[in-house]
Amino acid sequence: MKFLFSIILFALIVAPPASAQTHPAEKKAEVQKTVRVETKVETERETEREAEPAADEDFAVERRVDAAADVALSLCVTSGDVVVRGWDRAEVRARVSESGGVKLDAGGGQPARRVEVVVAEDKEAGLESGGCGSTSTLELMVPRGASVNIQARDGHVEIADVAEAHVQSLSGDVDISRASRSVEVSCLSGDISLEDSSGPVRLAAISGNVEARNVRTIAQGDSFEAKSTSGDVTLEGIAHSQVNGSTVSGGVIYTGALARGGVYDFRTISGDVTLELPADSSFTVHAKVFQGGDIVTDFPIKTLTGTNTSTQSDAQSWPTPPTPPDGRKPGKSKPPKDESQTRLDGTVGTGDAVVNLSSFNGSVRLKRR
Amino acid sequence: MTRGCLDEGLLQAYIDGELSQVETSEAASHFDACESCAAALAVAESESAFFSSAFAIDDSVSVPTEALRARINAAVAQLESTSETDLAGARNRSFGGFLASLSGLFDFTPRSVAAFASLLAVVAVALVYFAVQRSNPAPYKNQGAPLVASSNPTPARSTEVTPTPDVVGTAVEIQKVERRAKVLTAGYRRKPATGGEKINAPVEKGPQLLPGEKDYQTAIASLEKTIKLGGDAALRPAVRVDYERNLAILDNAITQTRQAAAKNPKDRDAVGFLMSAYQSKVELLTKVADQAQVAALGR
Repeated sequence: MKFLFSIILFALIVAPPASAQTHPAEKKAEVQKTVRVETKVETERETEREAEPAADEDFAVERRVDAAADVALSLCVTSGDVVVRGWDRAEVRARVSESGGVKLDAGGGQPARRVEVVVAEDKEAGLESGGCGSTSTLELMVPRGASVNIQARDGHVEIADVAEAHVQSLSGDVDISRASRSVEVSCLSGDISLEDSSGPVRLAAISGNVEARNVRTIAQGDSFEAKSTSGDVTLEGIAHSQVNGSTVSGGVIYTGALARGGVYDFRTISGDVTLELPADSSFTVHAKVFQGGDIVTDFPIKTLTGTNTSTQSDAQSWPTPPTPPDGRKPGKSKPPKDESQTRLDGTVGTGDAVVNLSSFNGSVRLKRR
Repeated sequence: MTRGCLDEGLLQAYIDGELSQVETSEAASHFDACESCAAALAVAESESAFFSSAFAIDDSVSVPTEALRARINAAVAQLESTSETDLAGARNRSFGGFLASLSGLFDFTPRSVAAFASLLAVVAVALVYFAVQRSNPAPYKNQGAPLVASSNPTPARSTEVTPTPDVVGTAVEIQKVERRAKVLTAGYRRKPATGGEKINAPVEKGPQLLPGEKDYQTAIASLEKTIKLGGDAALRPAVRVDYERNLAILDNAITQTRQAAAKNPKDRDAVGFLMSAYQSKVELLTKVADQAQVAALGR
């Protein structure tokens, strides 16, 4: 007991000087930070005056800074919608509606190669770099070659006409269009939409749908990956040679042509996998269903007997079924529903692309457009 | 006595001089009057003379023939009555009689006392030995090994079944409880003998893991710990609902795909589904854990 009391007493004696020792360092850091912030604020004030004539009446505050064409812009928002647009000017402009605060931290470079956007819900609140702030709606205009990195906790994010878009969102939809170099989006609760973009793509939603349309490659080997946990994955016009689409609870739909030599992997645990391909598609298909699902195909598929490397001469062909007498649409060629036919390995045309399709609790469908 | 012939015994007693004076005089008178008895007396005296010469040595010992015969007869009669009593006692033996029969055992002599003491010592040593053996049923084998479901797992459980008049129903109930006991026992692990009453502490025996599962499970456990540290404030209620809903979806997917993969571990598709479900769960937890860390730093 005495020993414990001695320790407590010793700690009480020693603690105040120890904490006092840390104070000067913290104070020094704070002073340095204040000086830096004040310097930047001065710079921003200058640019703000320049930008004033262009300010919209809808936005209460506007900031601008000269930036390089490939400026890297970063932003962290706890709540609020963010809209990013690319433009042809070599500058970054930020505007917030209502009485929020915003700051563009360019790090002193002119033109800025890196810009951190700092927002605050209250105009009077301190705007410190490295933190996350709230805003109502933030609009950012950036050079088209900009690389945009946004972390959003709660709010809608919309990005268009930039080079790179990297978004991590906790709650809220993410819409990206016309990203020219690469896209990477991760979203916990919300939908992801990507349009008219190019480069490597990775879209991952937990609770939400993923849609991508008209996405091209800019280099050989660019990959495209879209996945969701509880949502559909809908892909259309993906020109990549390596395409992955998967979901846990939802469907996967792919529409468009297959790249020659491309490899496509689509899978879902609870849902259907549907491919709508041009009639002249040429691919090798490996389809697998597990629990009660069907493999349905409009294409005449040469199934490979024995191994998938069998030649066409010893392959069996699934002929396109004739038109039923009752005038229905041409029936679908459906493999027999026995144990061995929960898998389908075959070739359409000359098998230029490889398509792997699997559904654990659903069906696989190959539709001909 | 004089009316009829003398019997052989009385005749022999006369020859042996065992009769009283009155009997001797009466017998003598009779012999005078009765020729047959006199002839018999003569034969008996000649035989007696022959045996007297043959057993001349024994003639020195006086044999009280009549008295001896009477004692022998009395002894025989007593023996016959005793055997009849024993037969009756066998049908109705009393505890007292049993004790009385044992009373002979307590007629101690120094030799019997020594033998009895030796016997007691041997029995005592034997009892101690068996007692020690029983307290250590499997000294080195099966230490920590899981108990295999046996036909006699935990009899006490069976006795807990409330008996009902319906014998068949009771039997079914007992079978159910025994089956349950077997299942429980199969999941139990034997504790060291020093463990006392807590020997039946349940040990979670998970299914056999597929290659790669262990890594995912370790990562998941770590992430879940981080999320727990972040507290509920890490996620808004609406997002938390989404998170938990997706977590349930993923757990269900893992369960389903795991069953398929366990049935056929060589099925790459089934294993692939399982691993993708695990991967999705790790990604979900990573995202939430990031938020939890941010929330924890913000506090």
